[in-house]
Amino acid sequence: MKLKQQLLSVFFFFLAIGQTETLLAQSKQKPAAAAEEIIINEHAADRNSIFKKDDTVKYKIDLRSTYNSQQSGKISYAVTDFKNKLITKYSQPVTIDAKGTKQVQFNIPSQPSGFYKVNFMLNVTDDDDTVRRVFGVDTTNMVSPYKMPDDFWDFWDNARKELAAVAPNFKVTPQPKLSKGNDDIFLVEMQSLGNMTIRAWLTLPHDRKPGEKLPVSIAYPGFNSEMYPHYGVSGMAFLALNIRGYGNSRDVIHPATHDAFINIGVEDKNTYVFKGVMMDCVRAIDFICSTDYLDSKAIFVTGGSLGGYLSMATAGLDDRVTICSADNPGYPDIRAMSTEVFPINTMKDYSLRTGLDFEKCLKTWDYYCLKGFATHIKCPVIMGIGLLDNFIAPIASMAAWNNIPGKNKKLFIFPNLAHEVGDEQGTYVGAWVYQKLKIYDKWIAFHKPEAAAAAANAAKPVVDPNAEVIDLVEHPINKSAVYKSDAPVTYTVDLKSSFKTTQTGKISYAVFTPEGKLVANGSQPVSIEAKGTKNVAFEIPAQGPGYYNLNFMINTSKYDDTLRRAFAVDTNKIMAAGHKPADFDEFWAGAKRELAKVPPNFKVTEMPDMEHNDKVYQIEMQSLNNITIRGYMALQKDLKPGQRLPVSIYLPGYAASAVPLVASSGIALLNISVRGQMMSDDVIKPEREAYITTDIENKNKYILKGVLMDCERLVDFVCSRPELDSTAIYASGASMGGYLALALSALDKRVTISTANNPVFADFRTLSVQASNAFPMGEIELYAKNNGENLDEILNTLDYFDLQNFAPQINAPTVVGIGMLDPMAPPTLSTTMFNSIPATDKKLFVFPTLAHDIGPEMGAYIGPWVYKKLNIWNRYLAFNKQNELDKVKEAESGSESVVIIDHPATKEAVFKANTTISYDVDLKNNFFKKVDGMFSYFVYTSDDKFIKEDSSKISIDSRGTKRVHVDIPTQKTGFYKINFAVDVGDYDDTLRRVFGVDIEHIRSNYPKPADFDQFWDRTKKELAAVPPNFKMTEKPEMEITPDEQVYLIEMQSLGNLTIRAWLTLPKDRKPKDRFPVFINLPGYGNAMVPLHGAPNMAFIALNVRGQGNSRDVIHPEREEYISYGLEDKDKFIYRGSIMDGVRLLDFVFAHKEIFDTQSIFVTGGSQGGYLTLCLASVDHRVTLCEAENPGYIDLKMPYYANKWPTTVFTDYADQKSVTLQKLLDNFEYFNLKNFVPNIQCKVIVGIGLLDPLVPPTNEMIMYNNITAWKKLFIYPNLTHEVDPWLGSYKMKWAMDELGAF
Amino acid sequence: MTITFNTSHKQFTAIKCLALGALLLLLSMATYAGGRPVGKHRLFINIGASYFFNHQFWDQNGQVQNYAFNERNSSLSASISAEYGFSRRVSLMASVPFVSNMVRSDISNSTINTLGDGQIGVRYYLANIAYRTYFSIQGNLIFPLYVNTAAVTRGYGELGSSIQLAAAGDFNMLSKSFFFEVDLSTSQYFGGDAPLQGQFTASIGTSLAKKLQLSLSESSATSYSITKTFNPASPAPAKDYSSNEVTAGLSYGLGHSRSLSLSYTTFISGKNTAIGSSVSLGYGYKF
Repeated sequence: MKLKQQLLSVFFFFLAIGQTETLLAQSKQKPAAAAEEIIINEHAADRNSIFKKDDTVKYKIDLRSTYNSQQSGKISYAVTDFKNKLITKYSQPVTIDAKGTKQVQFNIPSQPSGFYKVNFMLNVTDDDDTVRRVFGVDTTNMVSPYKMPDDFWDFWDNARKELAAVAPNFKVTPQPKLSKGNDDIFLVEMQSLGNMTIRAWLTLPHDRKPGEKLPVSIAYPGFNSEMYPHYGVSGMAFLALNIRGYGNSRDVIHPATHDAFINIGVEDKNTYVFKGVMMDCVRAIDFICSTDYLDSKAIFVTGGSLGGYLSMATAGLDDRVTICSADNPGYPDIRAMSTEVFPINTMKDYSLRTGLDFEKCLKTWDYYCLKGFATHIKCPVIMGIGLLDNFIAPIASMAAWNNIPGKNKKLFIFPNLAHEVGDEQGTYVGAWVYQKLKIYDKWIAFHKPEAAAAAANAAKPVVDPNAEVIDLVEHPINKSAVYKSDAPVTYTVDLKSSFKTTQTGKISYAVFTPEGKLVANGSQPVSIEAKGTKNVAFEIPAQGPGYYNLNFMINTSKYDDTLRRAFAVDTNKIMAAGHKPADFDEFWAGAKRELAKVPPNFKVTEMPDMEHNDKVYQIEMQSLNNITIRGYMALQKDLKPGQRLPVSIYLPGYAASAVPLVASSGIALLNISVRGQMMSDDVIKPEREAYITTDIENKNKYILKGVLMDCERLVDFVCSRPELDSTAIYASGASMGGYLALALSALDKRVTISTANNPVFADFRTLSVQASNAFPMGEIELYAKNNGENLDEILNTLDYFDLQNFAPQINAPTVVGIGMLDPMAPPTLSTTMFNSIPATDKKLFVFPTLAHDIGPEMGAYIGPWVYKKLNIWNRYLAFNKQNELDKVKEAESGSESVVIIDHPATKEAVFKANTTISYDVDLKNNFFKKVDGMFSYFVYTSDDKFIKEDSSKISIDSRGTKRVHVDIPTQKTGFYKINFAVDVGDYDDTLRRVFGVDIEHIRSNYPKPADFDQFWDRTKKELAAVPPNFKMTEKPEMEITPDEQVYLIEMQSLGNLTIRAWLTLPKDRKPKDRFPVFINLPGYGNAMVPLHGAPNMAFIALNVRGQGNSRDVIHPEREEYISYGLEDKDKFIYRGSIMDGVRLLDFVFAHKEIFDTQSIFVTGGSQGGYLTLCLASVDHRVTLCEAENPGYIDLKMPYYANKWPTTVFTDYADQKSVTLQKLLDNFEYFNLKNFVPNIQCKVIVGIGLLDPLVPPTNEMIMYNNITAWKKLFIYPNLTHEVDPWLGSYKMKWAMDELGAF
Repeated sequence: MTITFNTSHKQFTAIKCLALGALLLLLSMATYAGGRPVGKHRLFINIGASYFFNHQFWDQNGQVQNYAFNERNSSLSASISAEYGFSRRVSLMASVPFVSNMVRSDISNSTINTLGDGQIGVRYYLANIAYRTYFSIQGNLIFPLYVNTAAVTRGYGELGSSIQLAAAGDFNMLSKSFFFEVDLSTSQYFGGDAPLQGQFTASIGTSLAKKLQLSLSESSATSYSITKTFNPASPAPAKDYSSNEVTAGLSYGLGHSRSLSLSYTTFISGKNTAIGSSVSLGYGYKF
């Protein structure tokens, strides 16, 4: 279940949030007609134009002529350094046929480390052109020749001390007039260095919950820009900071020009304006840490240009920054930057004008160079640079970049961009931030009802008590604000006054049709006491089917405000006559026939640079008019042989483009740029504004025809791929992507299900009347007017592309979400379209307070819906539980392999002491020919010391099998690796296995701490002193069957932390019933959810501290959990986690009226297995236990030196300035092998011999320490898993032992 | 003569009801324990009631015969059975039947109420295969809870012993889960011509719904004695006979420790035995 939820969370959150595009205001330009020319496209051999040392610098030059005559002449290149000194040049003759193409390859000699300008010059009969590019060589080793001052950090330490002496006086003032939708805006004021008032705009999501701590994004301004409130926030807070001299922080420093800003106080490093600027940035972080509603452990800083500089410099100055990203950060290495361009030229002019020594300015700037700050950046960082940046030389950027210690950094290089970065960086950063800050996990934790209830008493965000406003919050009778036509439209409005005096006046409402016609209004007097609240009800007369705009207005002598909302009536009855052309269906049938004639030429290219933990491919195909369409495909890495993944195709919004998605297990994610969008713009490349009108005069040429066929071709692509399941295709998109998803679902029955967020292009004709100023009709009508086109004729064309006309052909299950305030897809038209969909399985989400956006409820619905409809989870399971057997079967079915199937003489590949180790190895030849070659085997110790090898010639008939017997002499106690290899010329393969010898005598070399038992006795006493305050709250919403009753258990555990668990009981239990208890403990990072199972047991799923819904106080990142507090064994997280289990047993024993306390079965896998055995060791109330792949055993062994979790410990040791040895010594108090001798109950343990996380040697060290009754299940061919059979076995075992049949 | 005739058939019916009671117990236990250990210090109680009726019999050649004077026999029986787990492997079994036999004919009607043969035994769970299939052995002492008189014979009236081997468990087939139980038992009564009896029962069942189970059983019994006679006119029950019967049963869970069962049994062949059918109701409770 939990994996399923993880799959859902990552995938659908990004679909819902990361991919929603905004349709910006349209400017009015039309591309100029192309003249005759030769188009030069250069391609560096390296995608980033960065070459290795001693590499030849290779470029391919594609020339495409639009001339009607042959062009002859020469093509050359010239390489210079950044001071324009010529390094090498070359030219060669070139001839290009009329309308022809030509490709030229240049091999530029290797260059020393550095950046170089390269110009490619074409001089032919009628054309001269130059393409200017930059390439780098050996950039990772670049260091600045200019040293940072020795007292750089002393200077900044003092600056921070100065800042600390300034009282911050944080003030937060709500800005209701700026707030809209889900965005609550606040003005934040604070005192910074020099006691200057600095201001920032804080955006908090309106749907935040009490007690929720929001991750924060801090945005810093670029040069010459002002920060304004940020909108569209979801799941996090946004702080837009205006540093001194910028925006609304200009009280004291308010330079006449922005250029003047850079020189303020440059005479001395202590007076320089940037000292204060940097402290402003630090103060903003102080502000975040001062609140109880912002998450000080999840701070993302970002910006571009100056903002990029500020974000990286702040990350260097302040370790509280969690992650950082910077686009084209400024001032990386001032002395390495050109004096001819900003900002150095400004500083130079200033020094000339004021007679200041320029060198003195530079000496000031030495304290402000980014390369200095970079040395202290410890958080993960992403930086993007453009090699053609005219302000910032790439060599300077690299000097700063290479100064960042550690490896947790990623650099985006855009060879063809100047002072900007490409879209892919933005896309990557978006996903990266959400992953790193766990934004979705945190959001979901607080938007589950139980978490909200748990936090109900937590503090609410601080607001300025001095602000005088009357807040209006409206409540429709139902959440979706959809009413019936035979009942009044009932609203209640909450009024909350912060005035210090009674406010008297009136509150009114007015209802308008979408066309603006007033259909109802009314008012009533209102009087609100000082700081009081009031509730007012309105019963608006019943209205006919349709959507309505609704304004609530408050008017008192001192305050006026209007709240704008919308409601709907009988949405299922909103219908309209269509304008479907008679030949609509034939038109599209013809389009599909045209497409069928175009050979698709599918191409798939792996893109390793774009991977997260998945495989990302660029996909390419030919579509209508032979236009090349490109996109991406993301697949899980561990795709099993024969596995066919259900497919999600995400279709692009207007002016959007395909971006590589982060793959989810169990589903392939595909998206494309349709024609004319970036990546697919080789032939058609309209301006953003012109896209919608491209060839609109002719329905056969109109761009949307090709666009829809591009989507169709993508479905063709899906059907062509062996790893994709063409019977399970999910099409989705937002805005234009929503339109494409629905239209595709109508056109192509291969689409299994579809969803659309705010789909556009429904009923162009009505749009032209009702929304002629909004996109798309605003753009289309302007185009018609400017080009003398007849609008009626255009509308005739658009009828063929109208979503209203596609809708009646949508039979696949469909979900649509719309915003009632959407100006681009008015709700009436969207609903009319939706009502035309004949599919019976359809659902409409209506969001009354949203515009071109949808609420998170829809994402939450769609996730499980898609998984259910496409049966993703079961399909995934089918390929992930059958392990090796399936692989063998699959391999056996292939025709080009020799399959190695091993049969150890003992089923578990475990041999007794002094016996020969024997294997029979079957070699199955799947070739349709006889093969000859060699069979070999190699034996190593578990620490890879070679022991033995042998080989023999083999000859296997076509499709035959040969059995080879392997005897290995007696070995000493331990585990050994054995590799079986076959090489038959055309084919070779190796099968890796592990066997054990005399494993019951494997022992640890590391002693148990002398005070281990005392440590745990003391810990239990500490727990006993904490009042448990057990609480059981029924949670009917968590029940999935009518026979069960689910409770949330809450209790106080060690450190007085609140720990939660889920209890599932049979509903029809009797007062005298006492149930055996099944306790499941969580794996690493897993959030436990209620268990559902057999009717005669009580099931408890415990979330130990820091996991699931027990993350109130301790909520480490997943990777941090294992090291959290390890510098002090008394504070280590597992000390509490183990006690959480003990406290749960306290809970069971405190409820003997429910539980049979003689029958307590505890179980878990991996970390859950560890916790299970720890619990059974420290608390003998456990009756029985079972542990699968339990870990954390003898981590001091050399095996773990460079592996998890030691790698985490190493980082943590650096972070906490303690030694790794200290951490490992502390961990000995949590070493599982030291616990288990205390177990008294019966134990079952399951292990995999190929487990890389917990090698079998460690498992046996632990297992052999158990003195109680025990049983071991060994799976020789499994890794960190056990056979699913063990799951049913353990249940039956427990039922038997507990007499619970 | 007439009285004797009637009495013999009362007795005849009582014996059959005993067999039915055992089968009922088995069926109701299948609902929960299904032949698996009842559990340490746990008690299983089953209360059963059965209504048996017949008007024909198979003679010693297996030929169907009618009783004289249009005689119709019916029998209402009740039994209480229990299993108590001393440990995970060892449990104590006990059962007590009570029978009310009614005989109607053209010439007379009579009713006799009597306790039957009680049983007490010990079951030992020998082994299991992956906690799915259990093997057990059980030894029983059979003792009459009545005293035979010259006028009325209520049973053999002798002590007896039996030993029973059972295998029970569950398996999956065609994506459906089934449970089964196979019992083989032999009984030896004491006395001069005491019969040696063998019985084989095989049951299979599956869930029709979450709380509803269906089971089908076949039971074969053979009784051997040097006394071969079977005389409907004799008051003594037959000591040498054979029979085959089939049962269809439904079991319904009433919460977590209780179950209700309903079954129908009919004899399909036999020698020296009645041709009858019965409807049975059982109620199981686990403490």
